Amino acid sequence: MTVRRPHRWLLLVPFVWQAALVPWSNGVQWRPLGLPFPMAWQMAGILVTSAVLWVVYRRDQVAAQLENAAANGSKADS
Amino acid sequence: MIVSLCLAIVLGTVAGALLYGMRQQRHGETAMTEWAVGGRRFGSWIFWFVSAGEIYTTFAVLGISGYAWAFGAPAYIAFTSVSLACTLGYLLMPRIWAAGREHGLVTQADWFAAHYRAPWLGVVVALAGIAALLIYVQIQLTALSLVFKLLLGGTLAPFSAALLAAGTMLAFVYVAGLRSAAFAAGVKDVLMLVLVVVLSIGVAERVGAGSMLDVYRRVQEAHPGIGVFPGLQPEAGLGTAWLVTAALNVALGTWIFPHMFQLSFAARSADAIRRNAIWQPLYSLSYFFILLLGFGALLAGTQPEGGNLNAVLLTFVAAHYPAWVLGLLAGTVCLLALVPGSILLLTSASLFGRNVLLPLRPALRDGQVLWASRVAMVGFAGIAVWLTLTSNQSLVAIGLKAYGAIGMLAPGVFLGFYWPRTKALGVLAGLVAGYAALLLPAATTLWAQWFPGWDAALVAMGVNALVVVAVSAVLRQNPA
Repeated sequence: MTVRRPHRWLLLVPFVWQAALVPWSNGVQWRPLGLPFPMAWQMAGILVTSAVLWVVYRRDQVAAQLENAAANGSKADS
Repeated sequence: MIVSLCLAIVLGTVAGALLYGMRQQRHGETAMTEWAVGGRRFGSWIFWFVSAGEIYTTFAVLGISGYAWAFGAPAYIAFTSVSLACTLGYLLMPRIWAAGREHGLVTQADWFAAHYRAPWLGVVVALAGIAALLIYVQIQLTALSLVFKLLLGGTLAPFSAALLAAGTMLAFVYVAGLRSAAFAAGVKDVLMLVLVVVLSIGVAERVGAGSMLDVYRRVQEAHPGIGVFPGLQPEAGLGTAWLVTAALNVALGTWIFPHMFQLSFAARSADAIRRNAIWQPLYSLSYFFILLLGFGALLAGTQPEGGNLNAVLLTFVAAHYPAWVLGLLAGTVCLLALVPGSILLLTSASLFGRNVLLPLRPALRDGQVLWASRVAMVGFAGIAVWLTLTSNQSLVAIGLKAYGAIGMLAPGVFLGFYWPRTKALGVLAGLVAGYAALLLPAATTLWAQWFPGWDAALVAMGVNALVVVAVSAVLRQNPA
């Protein structure tokens, strides 16, 4: 049996943050720490990407354990 | 002083790499597997260094600083593309790794031949891969020639500089395979870190700013619009649409490069690959310092010879820093070019031996193929020298060209893994249509009208993918 991995939809977040929202970020006048906003936005996006990948990785580990347990269980049954 | 420091760095690294390579060499693997995929034993650390080594090359350091100096905001592509590439890599690379284990694959063309059960497709893909790799070698040769010119003075002709660069690269790769490159990649990354710290600490003072952030403040005052798209040269067409499409094209192409694809085979486990994908984006935050140096050079009024934006960082450091810093930079840039360059040549050579030569002459033994691959590598280096001499583009522009070329193989890989109905003939048709969309002047004119401001390479990849899907669907209805 395969375990569903809905958490993988999170992998869309980096594409929304660092690609889809580029036109919006380019219009923001605020300069955090004096940096141009589009640049600060991309740098924040890098942190978000690593965080998202970490969460997905942890969830994937749980899913893999469930899969293994299910596989062993079905072996024991047969 | 500058030359001897540079030499000491390069020769010291080569010596260390050789010792390391000899120590790691183990028996029981065929010569080709050991030479080309490090015997499939790369754990998390080596994997990190080699894959970071492939992403952070002279393209990143000389190319992006020059782009910041000349255009401003378009240099942000360095922040965008690595994250997106790693997100895709998290999904794609473990699949490539598993396929490699299952079928004992060594090269990317092996995968195409095995997955589509079509040895002829392997040959076609190998040639397409070699073409893209040679454009990437061109980047490293361009950068290496720049350093040699700087070190040896203006008397060095471009041809001699490029030839010397290619010779050094061949010497670097001939001695051993991927394992030595892994060691050199580690040294180069540590040196790069030291160098970035040394250069960045001094930059504010040298351009009359109070702090690093003050450099960013001042450059935006002196050059309004530099921090937002389309940057300093709006006529160059590098707007937000360009950033999004070019970054997507780079992200989709990153793992499709034959050496990156092959790198997935070299990993010890799928877990090593996934963990690497988590940390790799953070490494790209260091582009903050590369942009800082480009903007610092702009504030200092740096004008490289002939307006060559690849030379901005070297010219700036030569004019404003002590000689030992320049020596350190020159040595590091040599490694930044040599390590990836040698891996690129190595990959082209193994593609040629295994996937072009062997299918045509199946009687050859493993040792003979290895020998022929090493000879072919000289020919490839020669082609790269010719490419270097016939172009004077920025490193970033050459890089995007290389991604455009390799992107032609992306639909065959992604669809191959995610759409089981993809057919070998569909991949071939997509390849032909994609190259036409990428290279025909009539097509590029059309894309400029229909998709203004886009990176045309992404459009060509889209055409390619649509043709693959269409042809595969038709073949399914009328099985030949």
